[in-house]
Amino acid sequence: MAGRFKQYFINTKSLVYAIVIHVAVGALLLVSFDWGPTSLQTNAATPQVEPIKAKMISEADVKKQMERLKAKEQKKKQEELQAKKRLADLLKEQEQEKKRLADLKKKKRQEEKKAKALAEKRKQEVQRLAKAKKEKQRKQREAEKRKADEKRRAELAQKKKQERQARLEAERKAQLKAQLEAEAQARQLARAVDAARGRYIPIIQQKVDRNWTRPSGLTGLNAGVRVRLTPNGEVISATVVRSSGNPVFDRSVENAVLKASPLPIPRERGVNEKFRDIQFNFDPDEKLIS
Amino acid sequence: MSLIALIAQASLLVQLVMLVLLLASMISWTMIFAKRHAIREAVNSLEDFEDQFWSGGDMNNLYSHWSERRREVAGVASIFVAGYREYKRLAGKDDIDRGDMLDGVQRAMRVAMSREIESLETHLPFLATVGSTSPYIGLFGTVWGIMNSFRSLGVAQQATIASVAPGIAEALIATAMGLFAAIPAVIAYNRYSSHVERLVSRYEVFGEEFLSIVNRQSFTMQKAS
Repeated sequence: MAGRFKQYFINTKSLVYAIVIHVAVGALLLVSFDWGPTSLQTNAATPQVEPIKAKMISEADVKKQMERLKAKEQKKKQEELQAKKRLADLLKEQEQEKKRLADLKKKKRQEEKKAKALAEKRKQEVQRLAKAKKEKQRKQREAEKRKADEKRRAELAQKKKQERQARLEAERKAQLKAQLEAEAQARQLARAVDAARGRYIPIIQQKVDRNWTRPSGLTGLNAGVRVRLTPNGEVISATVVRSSGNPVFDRSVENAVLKASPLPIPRERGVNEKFRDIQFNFDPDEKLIS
Repeated sequence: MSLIALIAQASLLVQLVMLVLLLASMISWTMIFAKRHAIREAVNSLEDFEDQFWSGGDMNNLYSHWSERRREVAGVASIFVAGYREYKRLAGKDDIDRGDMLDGVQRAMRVAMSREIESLETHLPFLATVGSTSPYIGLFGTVWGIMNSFRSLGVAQQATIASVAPGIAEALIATAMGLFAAIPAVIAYNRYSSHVERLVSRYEVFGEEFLSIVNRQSFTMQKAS
């Protein structure tokens, strides 16, 4: 606290010093700077004094002068009185004139009032008539409008009905078309599946045959196999559905199918799905014939 | 046609310039006096303290003497207090390395010293600014005043030297004021910055000496233990 106070004191002291220096310098400049056109102001005006003129006057002259002055004063008084009277008359006249004017004004105002009332009445009448007319017109317009509205609504309903019918028609047509298309597609797919079966079954048969090891001493046998496949052609299961009569041969066929995994199957969509579960005849001696 | 009349006749902008210059001069003179006082006090306290320090008294006594008057400690005393406080704090620990301790003491002293330098250097930049810019401010006022007087010369039908001269004279007052503000400010700035530099180098010397004493003391202490 003491330190801060001391600092404050020092600052104040310094400020005072600074002000003192500035004032001193300013005063010095003021004293030394006082130049100007003082030398030019030499022709100062000198005032001219007028001499006083005196004259001698006699006592009789003075008396005479005084009497004359008194008479003049009385005359002046009388004139003043007359003037006052005239003024009063004039004022009275003015008053009367004012009153008359006021009356006139009053009358005029009353008349104006009456005229105004009449005008107001007429105006109201006119307004009433106009209003009635307007009302009538409005009613007529409304009626017309209602009629037009009804007409429009009827037209709208008609139009809507037609539209709905058209839409239904279109829908039915579209449905029919879609059905036809679907049928065509299905037929096409069936054809494709048949073609694929014709092409792929022999390849599958060959592959199975390559993986098949003939049990010794068994010839002239064949068996029907049912194979379930993944979409990639991997064999999930293979079962003999039409036995050859020889269980050894049957098992060898099943093993061959499992070994032949993956089987070559078509990749096209639609056809691939039909090859998930296939049946074919396995006859190792067939190819010798074909 | 006195000086006051000239100033009163000047245009508003020139008057403003004059006012700014007057204020700048006022503030810079105030700072000159305040700074002079502060530097003189710093030199005095440095000498007093050095006398005390080298008179061979106990350093502990000196420390307690100074650290009691917490507020009034300034200048080299605050550097000493900071360094010694750090030394005492660190010397109390058993497992401290001597090098680390000296580093700590030095750092504490450096912090205190930079604080001192900062307080010594306050306001010096203001003086430098006034010294370098106020002539330009004054010149600006003059140029403006002369421009105005030439313009009025162009308007007048009869151009005589007497119709221009007062305008130029009043404009030149602004330059005079700028120089009046700038010259003391520049002188003071140069003088005080060299003083401050000298003080700082003395502080540094003291710091090094104190550090060497601390080094010696800690060395003997370590040997004794």
